[in-house]
Amino acid sequence: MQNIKNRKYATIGLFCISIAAFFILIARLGWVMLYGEVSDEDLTKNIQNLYTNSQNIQANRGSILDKDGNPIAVDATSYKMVAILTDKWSNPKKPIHIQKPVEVAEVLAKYLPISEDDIYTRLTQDASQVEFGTVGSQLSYHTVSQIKKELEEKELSGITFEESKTRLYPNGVFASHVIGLAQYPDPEEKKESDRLEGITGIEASLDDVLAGVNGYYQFEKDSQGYIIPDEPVKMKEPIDGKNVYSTYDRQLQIHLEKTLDEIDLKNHPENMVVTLMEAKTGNIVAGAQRPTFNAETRENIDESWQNLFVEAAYEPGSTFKLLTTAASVEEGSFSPDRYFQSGAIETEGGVIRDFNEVGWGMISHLEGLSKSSNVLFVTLVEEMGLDVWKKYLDGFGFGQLTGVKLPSEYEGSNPYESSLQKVNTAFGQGIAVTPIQMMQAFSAIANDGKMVRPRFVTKIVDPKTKEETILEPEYVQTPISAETAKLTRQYAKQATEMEGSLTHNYMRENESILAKTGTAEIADSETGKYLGNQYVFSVVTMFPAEDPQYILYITVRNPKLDEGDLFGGTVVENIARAMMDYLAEYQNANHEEGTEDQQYAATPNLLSKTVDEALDKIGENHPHALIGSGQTIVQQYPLPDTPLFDHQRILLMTEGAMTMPDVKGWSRNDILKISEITGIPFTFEGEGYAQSQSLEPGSFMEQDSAITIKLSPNYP
Amino acid sequence: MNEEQASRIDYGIVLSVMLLAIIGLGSLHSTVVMQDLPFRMTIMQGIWYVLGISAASLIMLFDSEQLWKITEYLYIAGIVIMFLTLFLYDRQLEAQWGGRSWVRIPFINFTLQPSEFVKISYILMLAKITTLHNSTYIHRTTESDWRLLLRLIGYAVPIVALNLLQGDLGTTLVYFAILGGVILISGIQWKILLPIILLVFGLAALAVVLVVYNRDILKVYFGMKDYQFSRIDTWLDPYHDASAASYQLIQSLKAIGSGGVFGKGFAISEVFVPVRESDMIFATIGENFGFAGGSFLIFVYFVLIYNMIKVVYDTKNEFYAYIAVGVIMMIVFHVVENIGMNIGLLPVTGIPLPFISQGGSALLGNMMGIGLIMSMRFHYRSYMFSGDGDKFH
Repeated sequence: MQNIKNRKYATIGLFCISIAAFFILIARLGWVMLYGEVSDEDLTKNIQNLYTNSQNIQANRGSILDKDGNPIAVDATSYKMVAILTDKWSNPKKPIHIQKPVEVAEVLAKYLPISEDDIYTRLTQDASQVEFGTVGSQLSYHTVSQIKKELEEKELSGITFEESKTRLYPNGVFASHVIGLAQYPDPEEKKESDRLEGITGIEASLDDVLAGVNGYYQFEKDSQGYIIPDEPVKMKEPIDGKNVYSTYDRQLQIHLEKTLDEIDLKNHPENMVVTLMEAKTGNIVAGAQRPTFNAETRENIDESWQNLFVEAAYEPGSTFKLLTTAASVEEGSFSPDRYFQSGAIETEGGVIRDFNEVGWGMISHLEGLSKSSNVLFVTLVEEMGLDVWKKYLDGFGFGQLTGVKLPSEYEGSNPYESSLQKVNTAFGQGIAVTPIQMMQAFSAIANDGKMVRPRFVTKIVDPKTKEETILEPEYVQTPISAETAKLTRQYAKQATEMEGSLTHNYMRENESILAKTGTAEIADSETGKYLGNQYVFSVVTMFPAEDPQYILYITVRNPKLDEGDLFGGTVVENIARAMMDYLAEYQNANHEEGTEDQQYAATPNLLSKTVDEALDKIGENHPHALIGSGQTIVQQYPLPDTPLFDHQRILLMTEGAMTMPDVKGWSRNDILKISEITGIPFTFEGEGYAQSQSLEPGSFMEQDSAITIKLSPNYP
Repeated sequence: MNEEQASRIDYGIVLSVMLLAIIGLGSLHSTVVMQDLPFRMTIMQGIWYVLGISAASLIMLFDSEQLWKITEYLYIAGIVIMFLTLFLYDRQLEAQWGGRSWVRIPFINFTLQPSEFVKISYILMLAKITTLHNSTYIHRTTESDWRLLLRLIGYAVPIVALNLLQGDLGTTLVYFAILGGVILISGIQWKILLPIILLVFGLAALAVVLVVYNRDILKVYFGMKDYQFSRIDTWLDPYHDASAASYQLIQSLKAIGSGGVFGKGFAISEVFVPVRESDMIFATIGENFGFAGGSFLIFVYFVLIYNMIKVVYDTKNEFYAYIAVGVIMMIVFHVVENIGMNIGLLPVTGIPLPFISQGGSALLGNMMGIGLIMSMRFHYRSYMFSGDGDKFH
């Protein structure tokens, strides 16, 4: 009987366990079906995808153009090839995996710069799916459709293509920090719903204008996930992003970048910032910095993350005296013919000396300006009173954000605490400013007192409706009167032209100009003490002096001086001269031609042409290089229909194994493009243009060939 | 129970099995339509239902005594068949699924999985051993309990070993579950059982820990394979590797998850689930009939289990009780594991959903099990007079 009793208890136990198990099943079932989440994966979203069967259509990101409509940042659609090796996803009736690797390899080798054996090895790997590295990505629509067609004809399965938009910056180094970059949130692992997102510069600050709105397809699918072709396809058109016209002038900008490259090679300054602004509108027509990066190849991006134009503050030094002059003129303390004792002045518990320690005896205010006498400006500020001077500092916008539409702008610092420091601001020490603040402040002098906010964007155009949004210049404040501005320009011009002026060299033959140079001491960032041997050299010029059209402002930090450059200011002067000469020449040329044409064409489609046909089509206007020894072009750079500038080098790849072109005389950037399309890394020695290459022209390039290119600053 | 009114047929069981058969045939046909499978599959399954019901009816006619007599022969026959399967297994199916448990019947081009119906002789054998033991040792001692335990394990070992040799982990687990059920109810004292149960759970937990943190030990000392690990990975995190091992489960989850409360309707599917017709058929039920349909199915199973447990509870025939427990354990384990793996609750092992999944062998095995339980009620009177019940004392 004990047995039976035991058995009954055990039976009840069994029954309870069953109930518990079933209860857990139902609970879990409810969780999956009603709540819709498994392992934090939102099933409802998956479910929605199932119901709507929708597929994302990416909107085109708007282009960033220069002031004449030349492209600076543009979208290009490219494709990445993926081979599916596992049969797990295949429906036996409609297999989607690689079944005949030999045949597939044969087809692919015809269209891609990779050998049949290489492809076969990849297709027979033990993996679910494989990609093909650089040669299998960034494929053009043309190549993709040809491969698809042939695979379909031969009934070969297993190759799919993923579409993606890439952002091209065809100019390479071109105001890279201000223009910025757009990229996918996680470039390694792209999701269908991802889009290009602006992460720096204008790309980031105008992201909502540029991005557009993605659309989608809706279609019926059968249970295997295949689209039923007869079913009507519902579609929501994507709304493309708007095109942004920037203020840059491509010619001037390219010239500026080139000039800075040369200076960089010669003088290796710690950094440089050069800005050329239209005085009336605040349009930045050219602006560059070193260090910078190549937006196309991303070279050097890790070393130059800071946009020096808006993010980095420094003590401006003597160029600031132009502003002190303006304030003093307004307050009536500056009078060109008044005399003062130069050399040294005791003030606020310290002695301020002129840069030559002894001064020039009794000199006029005008001469003091032309010789950049610190004593003069301390005198002027003390005369107007430190509190009044503070109002001018605020009025010119120091210590405040300019509000320019760029990410992470820094307001600098205008502490104005100790008396000595207050006095120091009279000649541009003891205050930290950004180049953009300086440009804005200078515009008050150039622009009859009305201070204009520097800007980079003039126009936003809807690519479809052609609707234009024109952005008007913004006048921020009027710290000085028109009369004062005019007088200040006049005095500054006279000071520039005066015999013995520090800026005498800046005078030009056919143009009146005013210029003020500066040599600011750099203080140790931790102790706050001046280092004594490190300087920021700078100059601001406005021309024509009577009614300035342009303001050019240059800062160069710690250049290494050549024998020819007696003084750090020479480096600055060389940059200014190069820009002003070019500008004069350029304005004349444009004046004759009358209009400014766009300077680019669309790159011709050379894919699947024979080598001879392609070379014919390129003609004489563009240098080219051929990679590979085959007969047909399978890849090209720039991609078809993307911008091609005058004299831009075209890279062509044929089918079969890759060969090394002769790169003598190429720039580092051009050589990096080979690296980019072949996926084979290069090592560079030196800087400048290629002198020699470790792999002979025409030799085969392999993934592991260590290729070294020797560069030298001189064109061979 | 009022034996005067009691019919010889247990309609609770019959009804639930019939209902399951109808749901099964319906969902299989739905799957056939959805996944472009041959219509022959539905027809064949229909034939199997007929065969299965016939087998159940036939077994029902055997009474306790007759079953008792043939148990040893069935057990030996089972071992022989399982052994032969090791040599005669179907090479093609082995290549496809990686198990050596199918045998192709020549001429009619039919595959059978002997381990599915050998379960029945295994259950009978375990029940007979226990009954015999308990009638010999009326006064239980620790020693006699240990003896029973070892005997049960001793009889289970050959069949479990043969299952493992066939490379079918899922079915092996079912054999373990049956053994566990019989041991639990055999009357062995708790002071012996409890440490063993704790030990088993402890080892299982240790195994999971090892899988997660140190696979090399399992690989080197226990010869576990990578695919077995990947199943456990999939279970722990189905989205960990959406490309390979988890595909089946993710597709199943998508299908079930997309069913909503009432499903999309018969034969309407938007998800391709591999092997949906057999192991993944619950995905069809979930997708077609939603949470309501899935819960209803679980409820029907519950009714079936309840009715079977009632038989164990009511019967005075020990032999029958152990058989019934074996059958219950078999069906419960199948249901819980199959539905559990479909909804990501348990690791994926290849065992079918009783009475629903496509496949004749499993259906036949389960139907025979039902036949055994039906026979208890059917022969109720005959054992009433056998003098085994306490009413006569």
